Amino acid sequence: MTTILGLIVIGLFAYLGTLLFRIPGLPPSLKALIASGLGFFFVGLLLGPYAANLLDPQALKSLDVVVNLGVGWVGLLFGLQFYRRDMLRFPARLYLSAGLQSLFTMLVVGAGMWAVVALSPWAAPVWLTVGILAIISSTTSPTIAEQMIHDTRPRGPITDAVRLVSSVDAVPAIVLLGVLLCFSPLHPEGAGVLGSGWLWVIAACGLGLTLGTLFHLITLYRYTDNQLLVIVLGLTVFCGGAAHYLRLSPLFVNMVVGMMVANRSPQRLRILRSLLGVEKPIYLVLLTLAGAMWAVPPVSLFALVPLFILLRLIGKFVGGYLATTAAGLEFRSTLGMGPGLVPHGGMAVVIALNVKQFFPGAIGDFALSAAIASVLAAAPMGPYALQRLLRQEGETH
Amino acid sequence: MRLLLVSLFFLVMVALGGLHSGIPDDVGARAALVFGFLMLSGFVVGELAAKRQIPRITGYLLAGMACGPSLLALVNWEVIEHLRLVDDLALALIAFTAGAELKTSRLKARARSIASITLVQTTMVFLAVGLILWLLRPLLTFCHGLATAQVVSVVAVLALIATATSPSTAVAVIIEARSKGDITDTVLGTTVLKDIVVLVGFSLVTSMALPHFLEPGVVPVSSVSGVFLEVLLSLGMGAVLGVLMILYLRFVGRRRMLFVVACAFLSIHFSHTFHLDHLLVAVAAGFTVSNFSRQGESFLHGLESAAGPIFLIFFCLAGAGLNLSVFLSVWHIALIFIVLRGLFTWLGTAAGSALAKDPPPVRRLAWTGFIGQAGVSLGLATLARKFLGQPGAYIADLVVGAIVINQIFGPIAFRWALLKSGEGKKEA
Repeated sequence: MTTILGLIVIGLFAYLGTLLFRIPGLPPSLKALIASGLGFFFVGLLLGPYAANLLDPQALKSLDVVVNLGVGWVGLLFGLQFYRRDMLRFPARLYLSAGLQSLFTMLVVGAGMWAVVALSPWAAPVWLTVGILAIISSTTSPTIAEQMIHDTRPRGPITDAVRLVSSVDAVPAIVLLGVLLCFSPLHPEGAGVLGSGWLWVIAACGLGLTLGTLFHLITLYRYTDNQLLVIVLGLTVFCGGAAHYLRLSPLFVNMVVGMMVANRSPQRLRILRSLLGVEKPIYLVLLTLAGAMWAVPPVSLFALVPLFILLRLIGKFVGGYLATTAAGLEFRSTLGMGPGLVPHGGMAVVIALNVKQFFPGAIGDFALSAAIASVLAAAPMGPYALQRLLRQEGETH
Repeated sequence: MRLLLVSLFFLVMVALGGLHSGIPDDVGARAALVFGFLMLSGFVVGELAAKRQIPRITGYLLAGMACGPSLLALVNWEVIEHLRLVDDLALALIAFTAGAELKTSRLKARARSIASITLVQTTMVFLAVGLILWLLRPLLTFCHGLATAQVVSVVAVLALIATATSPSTAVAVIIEARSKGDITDTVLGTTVLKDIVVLVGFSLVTSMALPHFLEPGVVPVSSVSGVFLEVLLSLGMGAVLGVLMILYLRFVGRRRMLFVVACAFLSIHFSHTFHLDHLLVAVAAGFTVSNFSRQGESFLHGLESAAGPIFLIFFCLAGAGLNLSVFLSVWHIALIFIVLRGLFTWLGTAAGSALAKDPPPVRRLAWTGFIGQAGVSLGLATLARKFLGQPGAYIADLVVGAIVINQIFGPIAFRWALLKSGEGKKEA
């Protein structure tokens, strides 16, 4: 009975979602929410053990491969955008500001959360929990920014800067996640073949470079679009699986693979098209699985989620301002680029899901809760903050 | 050169195995790694096969077998079990495709032929294989020491399994060869109909056989009426799912492929929950969408365009799941079984086809579409192992052994037939 009920609710959701999408003149916040794909997280929640139990824990365990594919896919796609020649079209200070604001945000969120989590009766390593939260907080959603830019058609250097920064500022997050996992209890000091965290970091980089080279070599042949899709699917699962097998971050390893392919492969654009062609379905499946996998974290941690959201906002504003100043970018707004970087989206959820793969207990649930809540909270604010910034800069009306 | 690259991937896996020592094992992670490698190696071997005009699925199966527990042992039984849901999802999508390919407009013209071949071929294979196995019983070591009634039961179960074919294999070869025509429609329709007949027949035979193997006083668990009900409910459930899919395609229409995958998952869930045949549920759903909606064509087109990865996943896993060591232990009996089955499938199809006054190409070539054996036969073999004690275990091993060969040569023969009849297109 719950199954049938679940199905009816899901059907209604899907239908209402479609109706909503077709309504002209939707407020930007609702558009941002739809664009974030978060609706599918709630569909997953309905399908999962909390409601219809169509995706029970055993089925979810069997779908590990799909999660790996999804996480790896996002990493690969992210890495592929770092084509050196394309990157050179933008000044280096923009990349510097992207990295700096991301690190500043991590610092603010990390410091704030440390102060609170360290006081709470929390059994897991505090540095790990706080580190993960800081990493999740630092990303910006390029999709929501793009949606807003698409709707209001602003033009100018600030628009370009926000667009670029929001699409590359996940690099520090992915790299730090890769490093953090190497030093986490997944690789106890002295255990295993490599023993030390730094050796695992080198192994992660080496794995990415090796797989990137093999990826490049195998895609040198001529394939039809369908064949290329199959190859890319297989390679993504393999690379993600290899990383997961060694308890390394599939996001990090696949990002390195993507960067290698972007700069080595003559098939770069075809691979990119192939990845983009199924990006949305894979991302939505990933969100659905995230919803089904989510469990309520301990109350003491759940109560910290609002604080996380607040700290992230502060971090983005402060980080945006400091990065703007440090990189010597010229803004009329006193807050610099900060308000344009409020939107939070898919990458945060994917990082949280990656964490949940390795820490299925309270840490994973806390990370996923924080990411989802932050995306939800940023949806109404993000587009307005960005629009306001672009208005102040005179790039839109 | 590409094989060399796959070897490099293999070396990476070996290196990963070395680095992994000391890290707690996670079957999910191992399954993902192995699954990726299976896809890559399956793809490369499939392409090499296609270059030689051999069906890609044969390449996928061979790659799967090579990676499976019996040879390279990259994939073990635990991983195969872990990937069962992915395998079931792929099978459901293939069954959707099979159902959607069954167009009433074309089936009406072939209905007489389909019915005639199903009836004659199934009866002939069952009786002839059964009779010859009965005559050969002194050679069948697993029959030694059994009472006459038990030997009859065992032989009947084996003969019934010989009639089973693989709709998924047939549909994979048809789609790959982009085949259209009388042989295509006849084979497709007959394999699906036979699936139902075999299911009912198996229940009938086991309900007669079981009392000879059960302890006195124990009541058999399945009944013929129960299986009839299962078939009817499966078809009904599939039709309901099909109607839901039509409504979605008609009124929502967005993210179609995602929705179809979700429906495949639903069909598995419902089948498990209500103990239905999930192949039939999915075939009925695909059939409903294809024949009773305006979106049928685009639905089928979408499924066909996604067929490449689905077939790759399904047949690689199927290959990995075939136990070659079992085949080696029963190869001589398995060969007899394969030859008998092939011979009477050919004769039965030709006779049934002649009765229906089919054109000569159908009479001569359609039998090749019934050689492949996969999921249905494996399922029946598993049931035999479960219910018939020691002889049942031997039957299961024998059937697995026969499937190894039938599944390699069946698709090759069927593709050859489709090309020879002019219904299929050669690989460019």
